[in-house]
Amino acid sequence: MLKDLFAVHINFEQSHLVFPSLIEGAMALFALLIVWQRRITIVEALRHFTTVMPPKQWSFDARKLFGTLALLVVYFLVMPVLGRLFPNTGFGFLVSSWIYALLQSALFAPTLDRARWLRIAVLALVAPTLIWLLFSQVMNISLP
Amino acid sequence: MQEVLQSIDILYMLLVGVGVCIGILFGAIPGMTATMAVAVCLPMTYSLDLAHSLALLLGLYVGGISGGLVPAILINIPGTPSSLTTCFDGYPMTQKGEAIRALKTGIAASLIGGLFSALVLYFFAPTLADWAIKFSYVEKFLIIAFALTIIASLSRSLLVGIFSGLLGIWVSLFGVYDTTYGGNGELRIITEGMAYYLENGFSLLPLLVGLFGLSEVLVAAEQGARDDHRHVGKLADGPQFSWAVFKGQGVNLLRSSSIGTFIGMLPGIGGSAASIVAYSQAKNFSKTPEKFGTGHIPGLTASESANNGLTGGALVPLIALGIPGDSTTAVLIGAFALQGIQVGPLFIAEHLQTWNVMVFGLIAANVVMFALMFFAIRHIAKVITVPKYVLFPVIILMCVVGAYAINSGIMFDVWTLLIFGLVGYLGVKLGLEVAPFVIGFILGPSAEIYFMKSLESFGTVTIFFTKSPIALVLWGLIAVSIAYSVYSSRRRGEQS
Repeated sequence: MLKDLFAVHINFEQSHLVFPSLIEGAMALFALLIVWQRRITIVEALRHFTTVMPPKQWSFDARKLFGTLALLVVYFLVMPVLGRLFPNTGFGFLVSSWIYALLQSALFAPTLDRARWLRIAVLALVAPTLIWLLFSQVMNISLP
Repeated sequence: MQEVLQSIDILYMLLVGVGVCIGILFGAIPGMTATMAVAVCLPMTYSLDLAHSLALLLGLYVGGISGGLVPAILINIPGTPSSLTTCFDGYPMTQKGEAIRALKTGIAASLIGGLFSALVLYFFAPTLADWAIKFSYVEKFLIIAFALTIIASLSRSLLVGIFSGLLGIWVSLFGVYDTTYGGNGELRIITEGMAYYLENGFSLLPLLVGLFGLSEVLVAAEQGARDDHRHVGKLADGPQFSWAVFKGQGVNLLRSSSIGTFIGMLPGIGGSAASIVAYSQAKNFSKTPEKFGTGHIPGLTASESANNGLTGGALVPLIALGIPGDSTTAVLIGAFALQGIQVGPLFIAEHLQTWNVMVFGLIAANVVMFALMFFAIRHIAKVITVPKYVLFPVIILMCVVGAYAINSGIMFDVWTLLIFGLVGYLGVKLGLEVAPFVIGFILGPSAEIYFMKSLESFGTVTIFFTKSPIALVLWGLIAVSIAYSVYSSRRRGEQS
């Protein structure tokens, strides 16, 4: 009888769901345990949400963070479009990377004077070109 | 031996050198790590064979870990987490005008730790692999469960650590249940609409590069991409390094290298744990503990020999069991996968030549690291002044190339990079533990195969307890790692 209690029969048709379901169950259990363990902190945080995290006190550089994310999204969207214009050349990567590297460096630079713009422009031109030459031309690796 | 020497050509040694140089650069710049170096440079291996890939990657690994001592000693900022305790005695030596002496002492200690760990790897990994060959599916599943609990138990919170590991496993199960391993080919977790992109789940390498490369860039962007290096003045011509500094340090070096190597063998534990334990043990056993933290050579040697001892140690479970010892070796799994080679108990027997070349590569990387850093340290010290606005765009370009090229040109892999860059960035803010997540993702598919095969073969859940004495030992180890975590958590609570 005890043997039957622990016996397992796996239906092949449904076998793809067995392990994921167990993991999901375990995740739910641990999520509940984490919430229970931290219940006092969570309740306090919710109670004082507006005073603990008012937007003015957020100490992060929103311009650089969101600017980086926006640049990445646009870069990833533009790259394959340009790549389709020049198929099998890697020019999509090269051209979009020139623009991306220029804007990303400018975004990260602490200040921008003429000399720094020039340095950034040279870097934006040279770095993607060297990477493109190394991977696309020398190593024959596919680029957009 | 002849076959090994045939694999080691000029290109091999050149790649070791290039890897060490780039690794040192990454390690020396605060906020950049050895893992990031290996992840970002992985696309450079796409057109290389396994031996040459390993030459580059091991160079990056050793260089990345070693480079961390430069800013730790010169500006009191650890270049990598494993150099944390190097600051304690290294920086006070710089303040006393002994920067060169401190740097060269650290470099020499790193060499000793690295070579010690390579020897342990060479002699211990085959023994462990021979033992692991006898494991059935049950023991293999329990080994994975043990690896995950031990990683989780060393996280800041056991519950969050286990949850992060489970989340990693869950993400690894996206897509079809692979028929190659007896699955039924049906989709799970994702919808039919997502199957076009995720039929085979997320690719490992874009995920790793996103978590360890892009997320660091996002963290830097959040902090304003400030260059946190202070002015590094001309390295003072203070007392010069002499090998006599190691007089009476034999036991300390051996103990610290052993601690580093042993901690490296435990899956998922970072180099910071290795150097902290070695440093505290050196202090506990010292006759002059009060000198630690004031520029004391034994503190510096303990920290540096331990963190380089980690390198060979972390490769032991990777090679013998297929379980990465740390996040950097998790990326190395990707390099093996690229070549169609599965690491695990059969690896050494089936790829003896690759194994010997690999150990040679680790030794060569340590020697090259020593030669480069010891004789060119004055020039290497300047890399910590390279600004982030120059470095980070280049790193992102490398990440993009790596992600795009991994499956010969799939743009979704580039988006995967961004998705997991955000997961890494936001996950850390929410308290998610990245190391258990990554290990869970890597081991998830194997865990499923071993679990399902065990149940299908034996038809009862009791088999996980009754299969063999080894299974019981593994359950005991799982219980001990959890008990240790609960105990240390309570102790921390009492202390605070």
